Amino acid sequence: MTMAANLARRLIGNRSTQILGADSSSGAATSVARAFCSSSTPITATLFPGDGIGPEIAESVKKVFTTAGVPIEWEEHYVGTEIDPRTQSFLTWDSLESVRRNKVGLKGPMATPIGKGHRSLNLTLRKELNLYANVRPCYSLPGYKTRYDDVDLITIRENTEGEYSGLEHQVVRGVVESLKIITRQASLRVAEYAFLYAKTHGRERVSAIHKANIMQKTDGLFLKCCREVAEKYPEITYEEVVIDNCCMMLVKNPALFDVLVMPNLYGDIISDLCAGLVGGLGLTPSCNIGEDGVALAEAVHGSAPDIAGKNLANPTALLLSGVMMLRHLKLNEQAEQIHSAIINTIAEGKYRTADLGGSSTTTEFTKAICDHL
Amino acid sequence: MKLADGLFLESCREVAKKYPSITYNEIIVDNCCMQLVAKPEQFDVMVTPNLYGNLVANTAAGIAGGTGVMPGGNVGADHAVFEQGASAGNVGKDKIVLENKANPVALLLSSAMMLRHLQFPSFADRLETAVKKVIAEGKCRTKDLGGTSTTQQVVDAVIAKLD
Repeated sequence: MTMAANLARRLIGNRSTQILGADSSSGAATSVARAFCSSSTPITATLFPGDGIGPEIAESVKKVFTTAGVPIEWEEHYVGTEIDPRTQSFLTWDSLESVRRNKVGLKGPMATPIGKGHRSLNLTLRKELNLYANVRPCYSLPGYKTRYDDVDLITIRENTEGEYSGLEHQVVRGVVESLKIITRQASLRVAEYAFLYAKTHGRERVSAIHKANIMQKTDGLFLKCCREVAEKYPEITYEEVVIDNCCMMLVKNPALFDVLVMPNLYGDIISDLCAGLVGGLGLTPSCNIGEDGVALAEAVHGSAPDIAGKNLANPTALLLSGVMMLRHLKLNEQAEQIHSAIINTIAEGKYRTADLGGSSTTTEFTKAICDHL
Repeated sequence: MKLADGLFLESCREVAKKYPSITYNEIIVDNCCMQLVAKPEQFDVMVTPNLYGNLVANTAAGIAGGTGVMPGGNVGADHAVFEQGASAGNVGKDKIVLENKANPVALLLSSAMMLRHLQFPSFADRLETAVKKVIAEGKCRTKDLGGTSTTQQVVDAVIAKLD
């Protein structure tokens, strides 16, 4: 096998994957809707409470969802204490199978145990579930003041390749090479999702972020794929913005952006930058999209071991991620209900956790949200 | 990117050892951008590899007021070339030139950097002080800073403030 084919096989996996056309991607969305259609039968979703403050904030989510009457049954899974040989990680095969089966999950913060001989938890999830797009909506929370009031954008980051392909080698001592891999398949896949997301959420503009003036072949290929997909959505404005300009514009006037789609590294940096614009990772929801309609929503903040178990944690990020999960399941009414309750509680200002400048406990904050429902 | 950025960090650490009076720390680039946006005052000097530097410089420029005000310099072993610190995005557009709205502050401050490099600190100080006074006064500002002055008006104001 040629080296290129070997590389491609390593990245894409031995499964044969087809490049998504517009029909099959909307087909994936409708098949998800059909599968979850009936609101009387509860949907099973996998829940990874995680470590540190994870279990407390997961409790919050369960409470709010129950109060709102969300038809979801949680299947809880925890990170194991031994390495599962089938996954090479502390995440067990059963946990992963659960997500594959339920097709939807919510994850709290997980602290990767230090040591060798196992993959990091996030890497395991990403590879095993083929999570190819990381979606983060960033919007200014009314009532939580930052320097920016009018942020309302979504970053969609390609999550499987790019600069994070893990292909580095030392040429000679003091000289290291790192390979950036961009494939047509992965680029088309994430672009398709970005435009589909824009369409289903009523967004008007998709901006592809790149540095194709310098990285002409890699980012050039990414752009080419975005352009191809853009042609299928003439009602959505498509533009291309160089990454350095993008950083500057985001910091000067974030209202200029709507949906951003980017390769891995830029996505990593830009999504964190945008989180900083609206108040940090403690408030940022996120959802990882996998093949076959798998969606794993997660809170991207850390496990905060110093405040674990003290009822001080802010469950907003996990709650908002849960809302993203509900929207993915097309349970829009309840998603909107819970979302409004959270926004109103924070806007009111009476009940806020310590990180937002208040003095409420996790349970008080949760109760306030339930009351707002 | 353990090997590539790892090598960069290793090299920085080696040099840091030779300057024990200077605090040295390391920060992951995505966290850095987030911190820059939330609390830029925590940073002092930042050294980065190529791509990250591009992004961080532009982010910092955006926070500081945009490409129109950020000075910069390129330093080599034998030569140094000074220019605006962040990418303009408007390079090569004749329309901007004709409108006479370009902000000269960035290039003026870059030339002050050049003067410092040439060991003319008093000239550099005089130029910088004049520029800063003009901006602080707020009467003479180009469009990107929210004003209506032309390029020439700003330059004249700076000259007037030179002592």
